[in-house]
Amino acid sequence: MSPRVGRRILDALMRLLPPGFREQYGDEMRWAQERRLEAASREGRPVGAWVRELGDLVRTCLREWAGAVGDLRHPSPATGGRGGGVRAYTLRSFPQDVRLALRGLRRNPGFAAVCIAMLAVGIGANTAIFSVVDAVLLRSLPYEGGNRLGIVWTRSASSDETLREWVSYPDYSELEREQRDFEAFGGFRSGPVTLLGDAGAPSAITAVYATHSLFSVVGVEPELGRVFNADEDRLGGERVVVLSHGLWASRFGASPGVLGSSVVIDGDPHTVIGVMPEGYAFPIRTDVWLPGRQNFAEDQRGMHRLRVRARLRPRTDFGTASLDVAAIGARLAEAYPENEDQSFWVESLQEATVSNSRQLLLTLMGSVGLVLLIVCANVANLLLTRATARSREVAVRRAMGAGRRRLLAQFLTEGLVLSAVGGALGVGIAYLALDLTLAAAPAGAIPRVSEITLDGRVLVVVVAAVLGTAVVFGLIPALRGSGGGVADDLRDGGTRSTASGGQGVRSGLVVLETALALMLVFGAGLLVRSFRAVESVDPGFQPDNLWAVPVVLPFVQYPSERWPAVETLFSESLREIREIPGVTSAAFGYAPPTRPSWTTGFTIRGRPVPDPGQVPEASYRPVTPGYFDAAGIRLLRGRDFTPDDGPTAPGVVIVNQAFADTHFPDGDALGSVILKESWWEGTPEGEWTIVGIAENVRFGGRDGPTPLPGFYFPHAQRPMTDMWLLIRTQRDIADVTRGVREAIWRHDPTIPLETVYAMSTELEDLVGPRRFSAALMTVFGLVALGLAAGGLFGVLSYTVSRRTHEMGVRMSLGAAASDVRRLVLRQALRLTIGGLVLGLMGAVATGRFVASLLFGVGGMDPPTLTAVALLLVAVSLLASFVPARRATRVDPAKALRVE
Amino acid sequence: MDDLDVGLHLPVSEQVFLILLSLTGEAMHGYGMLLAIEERTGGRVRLGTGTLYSAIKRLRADGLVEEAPTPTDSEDPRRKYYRLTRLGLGVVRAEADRHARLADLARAEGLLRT
Repeated sequence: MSPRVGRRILDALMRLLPPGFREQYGDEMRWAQERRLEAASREGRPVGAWVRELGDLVRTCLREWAGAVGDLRHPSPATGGRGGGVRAYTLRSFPQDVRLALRGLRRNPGFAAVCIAMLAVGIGANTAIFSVVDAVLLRSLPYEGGNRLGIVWTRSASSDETLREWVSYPDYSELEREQRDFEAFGGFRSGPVTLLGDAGAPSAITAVYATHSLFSVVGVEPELGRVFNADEDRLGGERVVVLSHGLWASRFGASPGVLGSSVVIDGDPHTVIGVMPEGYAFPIRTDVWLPGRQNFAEDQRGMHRLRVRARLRPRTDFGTASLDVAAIGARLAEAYPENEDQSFWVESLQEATVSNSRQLLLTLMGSVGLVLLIVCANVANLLLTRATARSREVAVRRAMGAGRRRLLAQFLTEGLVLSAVGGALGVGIAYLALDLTLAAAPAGAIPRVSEITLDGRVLVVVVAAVLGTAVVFGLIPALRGSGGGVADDLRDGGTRSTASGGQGVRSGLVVLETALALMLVFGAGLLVRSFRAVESVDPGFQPDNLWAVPVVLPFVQYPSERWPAVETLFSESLREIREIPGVTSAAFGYAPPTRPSWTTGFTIRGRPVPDPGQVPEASYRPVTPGYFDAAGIRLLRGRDFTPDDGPTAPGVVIVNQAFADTHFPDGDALGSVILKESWWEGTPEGEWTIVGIAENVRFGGRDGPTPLPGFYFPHAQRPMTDMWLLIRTQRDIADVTRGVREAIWRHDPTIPLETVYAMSTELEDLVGPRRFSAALMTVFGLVALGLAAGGLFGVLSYTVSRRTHEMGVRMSLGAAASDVRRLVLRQALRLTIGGLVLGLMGAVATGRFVASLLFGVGGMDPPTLTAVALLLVAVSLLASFVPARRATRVDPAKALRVE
Repeated sequence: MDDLDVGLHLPVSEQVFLILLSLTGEAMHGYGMLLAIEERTGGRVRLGTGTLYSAIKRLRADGLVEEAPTPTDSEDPRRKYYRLTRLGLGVVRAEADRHARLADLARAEGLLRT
């Protein structure tokens, strides 16, 4: 900090002192300050002295402007008694001011109600959205030291791209052994398992296969019993299970006797050893935890099927830990060919949890902030109007000896009372709004939903909002209302002045409101247009009347030796299902068209073999014949699979259009041969002839990623145990499902068949977050529009009533009604256009801010901007209609008699 | 000035007391007062310039301090000099007396060394 810059800042701050004080003492103060700073720099401590003077000057500004605030450093009266100065006087008068304010508001209930309602909506909306932002973005995860939890990902060593790939079990073991930055390190994967009930249907539940160390990452103790130990968490260890509180309550009657009992999971008896507490959902929401190494200890290097969670040691950070695991990755890359070009990195779990929703939440927070600003402008306008109407009262009080500061304090107190009542109501509104919002929010739109509450932290923010708004909307009217010439106001009683007296400020506030409303409505418009753009995207399949039922064969009972049995089960039950009355078409496939599948590397026969690491990848799905017909995916060329494409027939695949376009741009895909790496460790490589080309399907919904190259293969040629049944039917799905159960359970009654998904709903759910944000923003935009229109209406009405005399004169001198109307409309248009110009600049910022939330429209979409501008003009003309008509109804004779 | 007037201004804060005390000798300018206070308290109290002038303003309004004629040898016309009014002198004396009596009470209870 050079002395010159420091002096500049002090000079600037001096200008902020009240003029009277500055004129009297400013020069002396600067002189004394300079002596002091010179002395300090001679003693070699210039910065400390400068900082102290700066802080002192800020405090002096506050103290001198608001006598009521008092001496910040010494709250006790500087001098007691009657001569204690303005400060003691105003502080003591605060309760009196509150009483006065309440009395004044009761006298004017309409005014008070309008102000309080607006403030309640503004503060309520801010409170509700802030409580969401606070819980989701600001707080650490609900575990002890939640901000130290991290995820270890596999990534490419050569590319800077942020890859989030899972870790292979062999890599996991080395990472766990060699890492130095984590105090707890665990891995897991999850999947559906079958729980056999004592009676009734088997049910599919979610299982987490976890290393025993995963529990210590968050360190929560079980509610009952214990978690598994290293001896159980190994290949050949005893089969044990830890239950979730939910499953314990629903399936075992919350009985403590469950410990030690045996349950059948995927055909094997497991001993229950513990129950986790209610709400425990780490690493994901699940029904049971099973010893992981029994499941994945034989995983091969290169099979990235493990998800890693870890807790940082104190005094280290994710960056350091990332470097550490990258170093381990480099060693592994040298040691194992499978690990070539592979590295690791660490991401904060909190960041990973919320990063997707951050932009949406910040947009919503910004929006309600703008709404509150508009509310402040509106209330300020109303207060200004009232202050002008009360100028006679004020003049009388001044004439009787009330000081300006005393009046200022009283005006501010009125604002504070309004704001406090509004804030109290706002908290109530926030409760309702929060419930409504969270109920309306589609699953997955807001992470950490269960942690969102209105609590002390949020209420502190409410209090801050109340104080802040009171100052923002109260200060201008207070300054204006408490000033002014006593004699003038006493003389004409404030009834006849023309457009002066705060009109400029009022107009400025309306221009500001219009600009803010434009920004908000524009943002809402962009989101709505994005939503409609998404809705018009062809998903690539026909979702209506299409249903999907997951059919998962317990893997342990259907090992690869039993593949013929798997194939028979699927093909025979399918034949029976197709005969259920009302079923138009049916087929098996993995997975439903809304969900992504696995990916694999491949090469094309007759083309040069790519270098390792350059092998192209494609998604692939097993399907039975009739899949494309059932799902409504068009076959563009070639043929569908047939029952002849069996286990012993030559391998065939159907590729999607993206695959054909990417790898066969010359259109020679049909008949070409794909060489695929072995499906699983130990299976031979195969040759697959392309027999068809299918339409692209957007897995992940209409706004899902651009379809990747992918191919389908006949399930009969490589049976898998994890499939989905697709059924197209016009009939009641419950009836059809009964038939489906019969057909499948005839072959194996232990297969769970509980859930049925409607594909149209699935597709809708995928755009749910988009619909939600567009709807919420539209509500905010409409509120803003209404508030701005109300503000404009208020100012115009006020002008008309103030200028009744002038208009009477004009009309008695021959002005026509249309001339007078034009006068009002011109003012309306001037204000609106001012607002539009200012708002355009804001709209640029809005567009940039929401850009990442958009789909199919740019952040500066001209049609949206034009439409929004026209909407604002239309609304403001509407708002000026009544005042304009009132102006033309002025009776010159009456108007001139107003005197 | 009578005792009643003085009593209305009591007690005063430490800052105000020190400011009044700094003016008991000859008239002083603001910077001089800052230095005097700093020196007298061994550097313990170091008032900000703004705080000082806020206080001067209030003390002048209350009639405890007034502006003194600027000495003819003043090098800078910007500095103004202040001195205590009779009321101000009375207040600082009464305050000192009050503290002394309080200290006597404490001493009688053995809280202070004599």
